[in-house]
Amino acid sequence: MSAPKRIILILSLCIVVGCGAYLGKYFYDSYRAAQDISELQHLVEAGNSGGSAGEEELQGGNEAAQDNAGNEQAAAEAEQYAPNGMLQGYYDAYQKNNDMVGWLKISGTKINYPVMHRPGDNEYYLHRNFEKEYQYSGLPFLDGDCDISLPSDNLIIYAHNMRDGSMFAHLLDYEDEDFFRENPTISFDTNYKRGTYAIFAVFSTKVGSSNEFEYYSKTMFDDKADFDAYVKQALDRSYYETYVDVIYGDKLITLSTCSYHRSNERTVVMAKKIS
Amino acid sequence: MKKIFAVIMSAAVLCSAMSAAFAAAGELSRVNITSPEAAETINATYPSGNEGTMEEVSINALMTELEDLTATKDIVQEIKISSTSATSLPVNYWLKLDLPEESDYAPADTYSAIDYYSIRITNERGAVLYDDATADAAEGENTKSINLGTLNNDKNRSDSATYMIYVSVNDEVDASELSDSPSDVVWSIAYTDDTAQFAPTASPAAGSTATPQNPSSGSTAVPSRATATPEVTVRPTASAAAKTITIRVTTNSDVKDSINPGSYRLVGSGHVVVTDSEGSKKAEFDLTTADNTQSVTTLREGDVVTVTGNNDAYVQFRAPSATATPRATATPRATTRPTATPRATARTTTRPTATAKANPQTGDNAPIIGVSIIGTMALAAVIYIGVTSKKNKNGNK
Repeated sequence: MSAPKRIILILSLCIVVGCGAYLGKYFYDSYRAAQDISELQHLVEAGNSGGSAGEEELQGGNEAAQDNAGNEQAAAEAEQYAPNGMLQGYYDAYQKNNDMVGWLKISGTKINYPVMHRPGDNEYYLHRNFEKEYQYSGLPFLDGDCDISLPSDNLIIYAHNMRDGSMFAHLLDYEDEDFFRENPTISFDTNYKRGTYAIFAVFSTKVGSSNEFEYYSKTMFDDKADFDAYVKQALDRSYYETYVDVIYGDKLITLSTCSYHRSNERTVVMAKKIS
Repeated sequence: MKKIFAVIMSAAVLCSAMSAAFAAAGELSRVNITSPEAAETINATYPSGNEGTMEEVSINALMTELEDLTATKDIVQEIKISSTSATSLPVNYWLKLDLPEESDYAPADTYSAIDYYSIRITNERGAVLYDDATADAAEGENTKSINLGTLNNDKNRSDSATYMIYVSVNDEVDASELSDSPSDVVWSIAYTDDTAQFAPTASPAAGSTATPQNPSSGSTAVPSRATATPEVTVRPTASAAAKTITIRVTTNSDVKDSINPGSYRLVGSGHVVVTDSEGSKKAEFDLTTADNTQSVTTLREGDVVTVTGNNDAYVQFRAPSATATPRATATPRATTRPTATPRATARTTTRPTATAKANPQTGDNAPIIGVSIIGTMALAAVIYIGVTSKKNKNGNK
């Protein structure tokens, strides 16, 4: 074998090894992240159904009450609560990391994650896991300007659009109207209370463009005019008509992630609280 | 066969060497220090796990607000330290003030240029980390070290913290009688991951004093180990005198102790009640230094913010997002600041209001597709070269 061929062979082998290691690490990290989330989901579900470290016993009729979606009072009474008033499952997770302020779940998607929050900080959980260790995919986090205890008029939650389908990757499913019709609601629970939101707008906007909609700039509305202007922008940009009425005083939730249609673009799903 | 084996071994050696190079490079820890009020960024690297070593980097370029410091006007400088610990060791940080190299300092001096500055430091949540008013730090020294705490504490490689450095002029110091000019004082950040040798002292709490351990004695080379035993003097806790701070929300800049309408993150100490122009309560919550409660509140024209508490009560109106860039410097508004004993006069600090807010980058930038393509092409090259070499060999036979 000639010398140039040998050099090319060596270089190519190095590249193969390097690329293999990079891809292996990426998918291994992805696998580990999924495992960690799965453990957390089990911890939360066990606590909320009464089989957790809180050692609350299932009350009679608990399952029946929860199956009856219209009977909110019965469902609330059947909830398991920690001594501090938190829902038991969330309390169990909160004890591991008290930056957790709630839980987001969207049926029909893989979105079933804790929501983290550090006041004034929109970077910490961009690349950190529940153990506060570096993890590229990060976790969904509440905008640093939001206040979960007030609560803010508009809760804004960000998460990565991961190529392995985790975090908010499935938010882009809402670009399809049929998917919206099948899954018109979002479940966002605070650590203390359940919450259901009806989606009223799904749109995309390019950050930094001349007609950008700065949906992330508003966590509180000054007055009705301010609120109406904000909602109108969202409705005007929505991919489709949702037929959901939004009036001043409604509490909003905004989910935001990067989309890859254009550079610096965000896909945004907005919903209003219904229960 | 021998040639192919030799090639594979060479490749393995090369890969190992590259990995070792990466690993060696990865043993360098990094510090990045920024301030929203300054254009510069201070970056430094240092070997991780080097025992007995403390590093130091000057931050004079970041202390831009010092230019506005006068006897009647305090300043606040926000700095953010981003710490990457290559081996996940915790890293201790200090704010240091040193006299200039060409100093006329004499140990017999009552005050040095460092004493010109009265310093109070809080973290991003408003908790007081250090206050000259209660720390009882030694005067007439040529160096001063203020513990900022420990980062990378949870064995995480990357960590960051934001500090608010409040600086006022020490009433007791006559600048004209100092050996050095206060503007020549060197402000720096010292840091070490050898936390066994250079342990931080506990931040002096209100009502108690402790002599800070000086991690170095004015030298920026490898410093000697701190040996002084701190003296802890517990002062009687000041009686909790009731204090009320009233801030009016108005665009009228002639109104004293007022702030523009807008959304703010309130941090501080005390009980907050926000009322609207008709006196109706809009919001009510507690701000405490222990629990660091923060709240983003929208304040409208005519609103009144009332903070009640003990003598240490204070409130800051901060930009909703600590990460907003760029920051615009708006017309300063006065915010009242608590005066600890022995100060009798309330000082005012100015705080710019931020305008822009960044949308977090939530894309997956890992170049999976690119790496896969390159890896596949390289594999194809390996296979092609291997096959053609074998053919040539068989052909020669």
